[in-house]
Amino acid sequence: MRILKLVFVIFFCATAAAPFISSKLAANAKKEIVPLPAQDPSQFVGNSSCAECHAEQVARLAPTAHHKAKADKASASAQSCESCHGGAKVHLEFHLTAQKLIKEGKDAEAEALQNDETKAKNASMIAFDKLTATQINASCMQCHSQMKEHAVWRGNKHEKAKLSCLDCHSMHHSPAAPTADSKLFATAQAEGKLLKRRTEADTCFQCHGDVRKAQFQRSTHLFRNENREHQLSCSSCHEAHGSIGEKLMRTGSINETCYQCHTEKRGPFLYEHSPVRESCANCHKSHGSNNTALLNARAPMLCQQCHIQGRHQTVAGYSNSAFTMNRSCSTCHAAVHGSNHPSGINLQR
Amino acid sequence: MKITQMMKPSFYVLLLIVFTCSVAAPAQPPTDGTSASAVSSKNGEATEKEKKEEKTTDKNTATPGQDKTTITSQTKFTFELGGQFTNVTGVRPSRYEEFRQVREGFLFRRFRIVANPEDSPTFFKLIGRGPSELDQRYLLDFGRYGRFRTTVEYSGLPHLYSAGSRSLFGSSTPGVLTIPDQIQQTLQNTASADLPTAVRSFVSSAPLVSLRVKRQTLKAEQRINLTDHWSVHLRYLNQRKFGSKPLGTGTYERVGTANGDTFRVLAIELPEQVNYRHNQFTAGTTYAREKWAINFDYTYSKFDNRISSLTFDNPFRATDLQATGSGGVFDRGAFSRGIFALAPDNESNSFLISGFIDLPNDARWASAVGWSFWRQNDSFVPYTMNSAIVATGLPTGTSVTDTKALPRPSLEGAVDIFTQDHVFTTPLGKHWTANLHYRTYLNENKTHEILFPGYAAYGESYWRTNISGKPIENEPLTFRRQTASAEAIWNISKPLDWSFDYKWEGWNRRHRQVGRTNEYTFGTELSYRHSNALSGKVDYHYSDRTPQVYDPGVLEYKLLRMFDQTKRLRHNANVQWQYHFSPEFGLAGTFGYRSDDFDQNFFGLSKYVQGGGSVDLLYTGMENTTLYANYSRDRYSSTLQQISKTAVPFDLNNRWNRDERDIVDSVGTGVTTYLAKEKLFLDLHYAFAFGNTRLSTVNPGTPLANSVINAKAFPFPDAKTRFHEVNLDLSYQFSPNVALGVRYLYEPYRLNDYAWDGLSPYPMDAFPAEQDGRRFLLLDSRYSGHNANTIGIYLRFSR
Repeated sequence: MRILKLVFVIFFCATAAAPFISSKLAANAKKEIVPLPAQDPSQFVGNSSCAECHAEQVARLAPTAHHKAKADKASASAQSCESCHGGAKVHLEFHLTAQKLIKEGKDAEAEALQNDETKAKNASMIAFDKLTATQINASCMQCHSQMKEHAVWRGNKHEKAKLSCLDCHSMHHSPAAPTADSKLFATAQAEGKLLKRRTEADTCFQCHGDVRKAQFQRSTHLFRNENREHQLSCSSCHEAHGSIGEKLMRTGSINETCYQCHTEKRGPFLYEHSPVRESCANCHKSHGSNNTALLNARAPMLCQQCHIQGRHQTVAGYSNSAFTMNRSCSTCHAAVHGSNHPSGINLQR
Repeated sequence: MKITQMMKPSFYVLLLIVFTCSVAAPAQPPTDGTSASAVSSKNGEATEKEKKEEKTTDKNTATPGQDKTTITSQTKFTFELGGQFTNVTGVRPSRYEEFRQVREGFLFRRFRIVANPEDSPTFFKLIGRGPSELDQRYLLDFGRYGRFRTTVEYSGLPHLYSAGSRSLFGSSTPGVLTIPDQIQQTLQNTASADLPTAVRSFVSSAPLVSLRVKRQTLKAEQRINLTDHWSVHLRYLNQRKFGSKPLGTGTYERVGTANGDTFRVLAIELPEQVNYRHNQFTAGTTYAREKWAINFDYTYSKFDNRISSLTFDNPFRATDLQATGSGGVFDRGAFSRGIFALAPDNESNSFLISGFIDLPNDARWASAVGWSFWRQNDSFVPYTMNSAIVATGLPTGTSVTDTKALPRPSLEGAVDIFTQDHVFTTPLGKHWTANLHYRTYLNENKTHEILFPGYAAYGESYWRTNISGKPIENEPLTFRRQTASAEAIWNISKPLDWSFDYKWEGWNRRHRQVGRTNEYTFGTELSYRHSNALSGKVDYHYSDRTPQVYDPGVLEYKLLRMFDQTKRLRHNANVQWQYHFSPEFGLAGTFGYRSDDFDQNFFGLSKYVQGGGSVDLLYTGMENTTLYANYSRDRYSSTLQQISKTAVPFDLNNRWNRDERDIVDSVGTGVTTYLAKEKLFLDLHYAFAFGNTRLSTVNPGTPLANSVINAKAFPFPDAKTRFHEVNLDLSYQFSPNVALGVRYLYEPYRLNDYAWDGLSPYPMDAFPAEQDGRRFLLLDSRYSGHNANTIGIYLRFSR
């Protein structure tokens, strides 16, 4: 154990000190991280020019925040398409020239122009399917860095998994976008978030497929109505962009997240059940469970993981025993989350 | 009356829609520069002049306050109205509507009103689903991008515990459950042998009740950007929870028999009345620049329980009686009226300051520091309402049923929470990145430790002054959890990363078995991401948690070790991958394994293993066509080492070990597509889930003769759930504005659970012969399997 501690301290100190003694190396890294071309207003041509060739994409973008926000903004972000894809002046000139040549019957010259790799490269726009996750995120952060949740994006699990904004959001093809066919009726949670999937849960299930089964389990937090729409969304508890809590919880602890809806369990109580106060997850599976009330194990086995003493709960028992049937231990110990009764020391009142 | 009540919400919703429609009625034909240019582009190349004009238009629309299109000019409406019929069969089919309401008859299924003019930064939408149903939901969202946004959301969520329960209790005053005196007197005066007949007679004529809690949540949020860098946000949350749910109370008596000790069990299940309010208000402000930002939030939260205590009649006693104690006659649970302290009112004030700063060399420091102050000072209820109890140590002139007999009138509960979270992330050269993370969560319970002279034990019928020699005193738990981690990520090549991390987690606790634990975790992860075609990761973590000293105390068996504090070795491995054969066709999978080994030299939970995997296949082909299939399996297993108490406590011959294994398999598949050129729309899904819990128990030794009779291991049947769901939505678009659709939902559900299958309001016949359950009266709150068919037809109007 001492060796483990020593390794930890050395590792921690070395990591902390490293940036200060290798500033040159770090400076090189900076160039790697933000490779997007600088926004040059002199290169902007406006959305209407883009729409001449990319009508569908522009039309899809038009009703979304990414187009509409331009009306209130100046400079780069006022350009809509070019805010993300870069100034299109060279791109436009290149393709107009090529089209003009074709119109004039100069096909060979047009072909030569299009095959000129240098010119074609200079005329190319920023294509997001060619960018790394870091590059994509840097582009989005030009406008979205002001959201407080994004402050802790760096260093969180989703960033580490090299996720980009476009893994969950789609600027042009979101089924939950305001342009979407109303038959699909994106759920309220997905509204306005330009998610890649119809619902927030479906978006998260892309990677967290193991959670999907929870919605069909005997007890679940992924409540659905008869139209398969969720009553609670993942973002009711988690903040996917980063948070100060563990497991990307919206609050500082698991319990405080649960108290958002189960405030009656916040207390403090006269008699508390210590493991309950420390973490609801000691007894509950938050997404779904084969047992009632999202319990980790069936009662009385759940309680027997921590309790032996007493003249009744220590038995192996049988399936039709009064201690096993109905709500098992909590048939009598109903105040397992805490009791404020002067006679509630055994959490029975 | 009932219909009128049901119609009320619908009426208000319709009123709101009419109002919205009138406000959002078209004032002028839509003008859309972008769309117009898109159309013109179809006719060929635009001239330079046209382009200049269009650019001018763009510039004009970019000027605030000069929008050519207004919020009212592009309003779109969609309504779905229809009818629905449901047929549910099954003995106790309440699970079908456990967390929803499937309404029958006329149905206002959903609506959507959206005004979203393309060249205006303003937007408005009002969305609703299931108006007048218990699970109705509305969203009102409007604002001006970049300036302000107002969101109001209302939702209802029912929780149906059971329909078809039986209860002898009635209530004319909130918080007071009564039983007719005649029933109490009859059951008190009936000889034990005749009690079952008498109870059954009363129960059979008791009314059927539904136990359901409804939750209604209203959220309102306002965000305003005061400047390009400075914003404020306000949030208000109001939750109401009301209805009734089951609440148990009971005790037991141990009885010696020739075949070993057994129990008399006494229990009463009550329909607890629920009436909660929770109000929460948050105000915050954020100031953000390119390289740094700071945020401040204040949150006030108030929980109000309008029924702070529950008094209830004991069906088996009309007069109070004191039990004779553990060595005497078996007469526990002998109160005529009992009292429960329900969840007390509480409030909290929270402050959070967070922010980040970008440092030189592309490093970033982000921190959050928060304080919360939780307070609770509800008046205590008396020790008991059983006036026959002779209590000792009470102040002179007070009785056990008097709150003046208590050492304090209320708890004055105070918990202070302090959290801090710091993240430092920086590149280390061209190929390395480092993340450092430190977090503290301090829960400091400043509540008074109150020494009580005793408490009303054994079903509020006997004054007990200590438990195993320990005085009756509360022990406010205080704990501090700290984690510090360091992570280095090596970018081996553009798509490939290899990371190493080390984490320390320390707990300090007061009033628990272990004062301090340290856990060290070492892990590594290999992740690969090649554009969007192939990505995956493999990780492994090993943890070692060690308690400094384990003090079992006097209340628990000295060889028991609680799993959340004891020595633990953890292995945790995960695999995750995604592969896109083409932009349309993708395959993804996950696999996870976690094993916790606790100190197997002791009793309690000794091993926990969790494993599972999933495979997902997704095809998103032509416009609006999606096809998916997925399968997942999860397996949980735990092993307990236990021991039964004997007359000479805890002889090792009375050991018993139990394995519990949980498996859940689920399959889902579905298709969403147009069958005939934007006319016939199909949305079809199927899901299946199978859950199975298996228990196996063994006695490593031979239980002693003077043990409790069920110290021996008996077989348990498997507990199984089977769930199928077929969900079909087929609609035909007759015209651009009108569609006719059919919906069908088929849901068979099977439940085999020994804990519920033999249950009834008076379940003594289900108990083994040697277990005396003559005074065991429940609500029979449960559900069983069902077969449900719901078919509906709807008309959709849109404009």
